Amino acid sequence: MSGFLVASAASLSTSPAELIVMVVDFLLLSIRACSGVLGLRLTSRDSRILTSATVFFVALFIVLVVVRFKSLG
Amino acid sequence: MVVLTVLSLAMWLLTVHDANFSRMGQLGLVSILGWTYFVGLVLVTMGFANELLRTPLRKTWLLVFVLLLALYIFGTGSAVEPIASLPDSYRHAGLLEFIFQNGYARPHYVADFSWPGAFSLGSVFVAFAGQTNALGFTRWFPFFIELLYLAPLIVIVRSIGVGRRAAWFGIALFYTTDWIEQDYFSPQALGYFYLLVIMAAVFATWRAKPSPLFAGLRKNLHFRMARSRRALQLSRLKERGADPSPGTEPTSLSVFDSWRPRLVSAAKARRPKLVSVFDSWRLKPNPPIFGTQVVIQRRYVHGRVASLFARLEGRDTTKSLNTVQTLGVLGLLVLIMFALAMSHELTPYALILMLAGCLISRHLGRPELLAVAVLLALGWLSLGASDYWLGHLSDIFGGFGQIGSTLTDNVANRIAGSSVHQFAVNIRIYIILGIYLLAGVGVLRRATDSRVLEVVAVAPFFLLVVSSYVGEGLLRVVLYALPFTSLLAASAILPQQSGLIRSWLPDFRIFRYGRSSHTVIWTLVFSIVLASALATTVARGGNDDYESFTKGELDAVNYVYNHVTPGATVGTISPYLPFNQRSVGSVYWVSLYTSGSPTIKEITTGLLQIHAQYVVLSQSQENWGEIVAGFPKGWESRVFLSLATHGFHVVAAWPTASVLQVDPKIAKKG
Repeated sequence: MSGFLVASAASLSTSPAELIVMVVDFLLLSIRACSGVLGLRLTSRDSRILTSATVFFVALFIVLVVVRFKSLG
Repeated sequence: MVVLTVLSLAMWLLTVHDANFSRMGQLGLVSILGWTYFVGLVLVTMGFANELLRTPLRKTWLLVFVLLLALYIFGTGSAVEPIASLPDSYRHAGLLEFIFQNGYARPHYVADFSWPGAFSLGSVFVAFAGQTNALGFTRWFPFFIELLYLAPLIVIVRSIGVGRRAAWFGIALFYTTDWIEQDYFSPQALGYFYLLVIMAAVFATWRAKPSPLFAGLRKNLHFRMARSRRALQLSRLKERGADPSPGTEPTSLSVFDSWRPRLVSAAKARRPKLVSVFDSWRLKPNPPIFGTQVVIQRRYVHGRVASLFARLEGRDTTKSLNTVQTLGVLGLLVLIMFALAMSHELTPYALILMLAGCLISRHLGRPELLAVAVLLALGWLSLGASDYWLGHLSDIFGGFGQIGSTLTDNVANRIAGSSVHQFAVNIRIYIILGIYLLAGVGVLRRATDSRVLEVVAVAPFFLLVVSSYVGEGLLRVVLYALPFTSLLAASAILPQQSGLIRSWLPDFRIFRYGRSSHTVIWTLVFSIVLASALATTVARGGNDDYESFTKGELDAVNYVYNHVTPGATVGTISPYLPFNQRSVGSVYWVSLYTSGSPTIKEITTGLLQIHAQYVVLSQSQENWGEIVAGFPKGWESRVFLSLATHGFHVVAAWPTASVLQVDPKIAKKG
């Protein structure tokens, strides 16, 4: 666990965009998964927007990773 | 059954007692197993086959015989060999010891330290057990982890939609065909356990919802469309009050009427906007024949599109838990995925492919799980393992799309060495071919509600498109798919008879489970399990002549650690030695050759060039030279004589190992 924390802290300064997008992704996924329990009454339109946003940010994260691989690999 | 159990256990104990490790031959473990092993294996297989075809099924006895099979195949090596086999077991113990002593993973050292999760967890257990290193856990680890696999396997086979007998047969086939030996003390063994647990939870939580759209649409599309067109015309005639001609009502009218309302209700549930368009088309008066055909085609296409979206959003599943329980399971699975992403570099991607397969085949009600798996795997690779791939990305993705070279690395390059060694390698290939042939028959024979088993068995193979994984990709992929392939193979003999998707082969009475075919099926089950168990015994222990070690060799390595100066280099000819389990980063072990056939002069020159302070010669390295590199018997003594002329002398010796040290004066001159 400490290895992960050290590694992620060292990477934070070099790739904040990926971390931020990852956090946003997790937030969206959590909202989507827990909407029922949280009492959020999502309409079908809300659900489609949420799904589209989640897919967009996941794709953005993959693109950022690929760009980082190409530039540093 | 009690007699069979006691006898087979007694046979195993006799086998272990009588086996003489020092007499191991080129065929490995099987060369020192007496007749008691084979008799015991026959007894276990007989007991298993009897219980499998018994009515009613006795799960307890089936479990007992599966455990005995596991004991024979995975426990025999651990019991016979004095210390753990495989040099990587010791290397992983060394990495774990570093984290245990220092509290962090050493950066810029080895690739394994970029995925330190398993080692961190291991160091917790070592501390909990009051030990200072993990060497005490390495010898019996393979048997322990294989037993640990049993629980998620049982959950998978119960939930995936095969019959009860095929389920247990599949579990037995998993154990009797697992020669791949990735269950040694390693992160991949733990990662595989995580993978099985996640898949078990997914299969237990979600099932495919029987689809009303496709329940009746099994026949040719044109026939269905023509039938539907005629039925639509007749229904419009009825609405206008006109009597259709007697005898012109198609028999399909009831079929059309039976699924049309379901089509409407299913579409309404999924795409509200679509339904209004659908309704507007449906209510158009007197459409021309061509227009009717277009309407039906559009309905069909939109129905399929709606169904695809519903499937990708996970709405085409039923779940066995309520919402709060499902969220709890999701939370636990996210934690396990996090642990997996930190522990192994390949298994998370196999998991992603298998979860995608579950989503497509309507067995994953929460696509969020797949998204989280992707984020964690890629996130750790990018952020946590950058130490590994910075400047070396070609090591990971260099083989992208080169499936031919991947297969060459994994198959052709391994068929090398002596004829005995090649025999063991060929046995491994035959086991894989045999299990996949049976699996193919199983795919054709079984009826099912969902093809998830086939999808998940094939999904991991897409990993080979990306990388050969240092020549081991095919092995790993076969291992990931093995539980599902085993179930398909089991379905070849004991297929499920009922399901929305019918079997593609006719059902011959002689192969249909029942009183008349009992003897035939018993013979098939017994033969397949026994043959695969024997083949796996040969294949699994086939390299043990040079991959298993004596206590003398371990003592020689410990002698070096106790006397070597920090920062010094220790040389070996091949990496088949129990080393690297201590002092990670302060003592550098250099193994000159893992393949090829160098000359004695090249070996001596290589050892001199690395300026080794110590050189360790051992029985296992000599066996490697004879079996794999093709050296003549006694070649290691020629290396020793050659080294002696260059200032090396023996400082410690055991019957199976000796430690040579270079004369310091000659070392300084060099």
